[in-house]
Amino acid sequence: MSNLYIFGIGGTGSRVLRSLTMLMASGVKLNGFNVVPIVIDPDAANADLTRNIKSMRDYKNIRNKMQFTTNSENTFFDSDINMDIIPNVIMPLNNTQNQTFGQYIDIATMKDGNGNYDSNYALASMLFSEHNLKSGMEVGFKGNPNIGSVVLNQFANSVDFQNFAASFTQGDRIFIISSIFGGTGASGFPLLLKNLRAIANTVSGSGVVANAPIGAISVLPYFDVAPDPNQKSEIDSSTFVSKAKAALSYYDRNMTETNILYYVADNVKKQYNNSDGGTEQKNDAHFIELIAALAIVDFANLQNDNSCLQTLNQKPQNQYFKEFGIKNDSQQIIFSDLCANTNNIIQKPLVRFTLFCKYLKEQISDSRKQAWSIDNKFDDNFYNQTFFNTYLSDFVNDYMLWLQEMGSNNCAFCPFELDEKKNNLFSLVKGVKPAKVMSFDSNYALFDGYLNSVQKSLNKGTNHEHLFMEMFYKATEKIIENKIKL
Amino acid sequence: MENFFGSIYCWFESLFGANIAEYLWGYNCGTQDYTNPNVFNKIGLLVLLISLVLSFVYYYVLNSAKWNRWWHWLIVMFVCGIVNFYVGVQSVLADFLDGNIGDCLMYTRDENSEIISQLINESDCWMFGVANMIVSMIFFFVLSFVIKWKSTNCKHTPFL
Repeated sequence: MSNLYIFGIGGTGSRVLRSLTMLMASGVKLNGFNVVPIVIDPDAANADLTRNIKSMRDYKNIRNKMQFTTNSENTFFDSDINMDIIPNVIMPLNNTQNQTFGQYIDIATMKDGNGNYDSNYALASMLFSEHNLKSGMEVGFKGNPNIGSVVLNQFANSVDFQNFAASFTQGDRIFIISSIFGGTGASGFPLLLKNLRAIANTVSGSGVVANAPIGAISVLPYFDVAPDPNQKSEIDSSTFVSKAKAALSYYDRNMTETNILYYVADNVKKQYNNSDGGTEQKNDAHFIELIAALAIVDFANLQNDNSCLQTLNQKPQNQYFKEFGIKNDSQQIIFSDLCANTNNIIQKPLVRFTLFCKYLKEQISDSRKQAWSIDNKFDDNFYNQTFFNTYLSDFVNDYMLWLQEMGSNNCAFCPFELDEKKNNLFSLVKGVKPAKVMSFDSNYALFDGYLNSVQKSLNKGTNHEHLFMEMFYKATEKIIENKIKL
Repeated sequence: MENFFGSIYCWFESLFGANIAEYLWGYNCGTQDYTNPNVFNKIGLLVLLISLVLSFVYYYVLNSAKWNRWWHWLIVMFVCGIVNFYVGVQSVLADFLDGNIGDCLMYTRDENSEIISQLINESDCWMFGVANMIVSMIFFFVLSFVIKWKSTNCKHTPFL
């Protein structure tokens, strides 16, 4: 199976990877690719990154327990995440902790034999302000791509980058996620692209990497940060648009090495708390990040013979640019506001998985005496194992939080009624009136009825964990078919 | 097999008395033999049929994931019992009031044919209804375990 290496650069990279993880869990297909997540972020402690890695590890642990066969209909957690190549997910950046950028470039040694500053110092002074030179880098480059473009150059020499190249084979693809209006993403994307296309011949696998299909998304400004009342933060969102313009101008002239470049942007901007990074950088999930994740889905699902994936001598034969649009411009986006193509990809998977998650959170403890539970021995032993008790429960909580965050953001993506409504469960898809079905049961009792019904057709040869997921997949599919009618 | 239902009812003969039992076995005072139809069979078959219908309705028509706990099943069993209590009382009480029960079973008479005592009272008919209710609940219980296994939602009700 081929790998799709996804480089997530900076905070936006991590957040888009989080959205992709949620889409994959719901069953959005990636054309059989295994995802290899690689995060490039000097701010290894930023909360967006740590919770994304936690979700991916939970995903991987859940996926490891499942046994997909040709008879399996289940698509929950269908795509695999390969964490063997870059086990820590983060590509480490050395010498960014506990020193300033000036110390990083050894500006103090840029002197001639007489102890006077030399021409290197003059050049550095021209490119970097005093403020830049005194900047710490523990939490990233804080909106300074000129710093990032120097520091990030080192990752091509890292062991993880060598491992990535060595593992790369024909048929694999690369995708790069970055924002254009900050520091890490804006500087990291061009650098990474350059390092991939012009990878040194001495690196194992370099030939395949250099000619690999590369897709990328550049996320334009979609949020603001509040002014820091203490005036300590170095991030000023009033510069986001001008930085994006400058970067776009650069991309226009120089970024010809991607096979496909996706752009996504939003006029509406939510204002987040101003945080330089670290554990305080925990931005709510945003619809734009979901759209960015859909760019990865789009890229993965291109067939190998598609003309836009052909690359010769490190140069794409054709370069494509794609943007995303919705049908109705709304501040409260629901499924009916999206175009049919988008709904074809995400609607059913998200509805299925949301039903599944709501059941686990709201109902499962009351349904332990149902036939599906007794017949398949989903007992205390099953529920107390880490698969359910830790990995699945944590992932479900994060998925519901992800939906809630998107629903309360601006613009909001709020296609579901997420509040507990046990008496009106199937109205959870906004804008869709549930159909009437011939049954004495309703709501969770009807859900249990579908679970009891589909469990008869399960392949009992698979393990408990897969059986559990398969059963819920089939039941939620029946609910969509008969009750929600999507 | 002919005595199947009667044998079951006789477990509860102490409730409704030996004379009603004799009448239901088909005892004929004229021939002093069991030459009348065996009423136990008629009532027993009806009770069996009602229990079967109600258990089938519970497991395959209602077949509810919401109503599949043991107390829901118990409610249906009591409904079955109450229906059959009525059936039992009516089956015997009608004959009792119409005088269809043989005189030798109804009364003890002296040599002048004067009634010394009444052997079957109306309360015995009601007690037969109670016996019929218990028998129907036994049938419902047994039938539940025979037919429940193919029910989608109630296969583990009341237990197992």
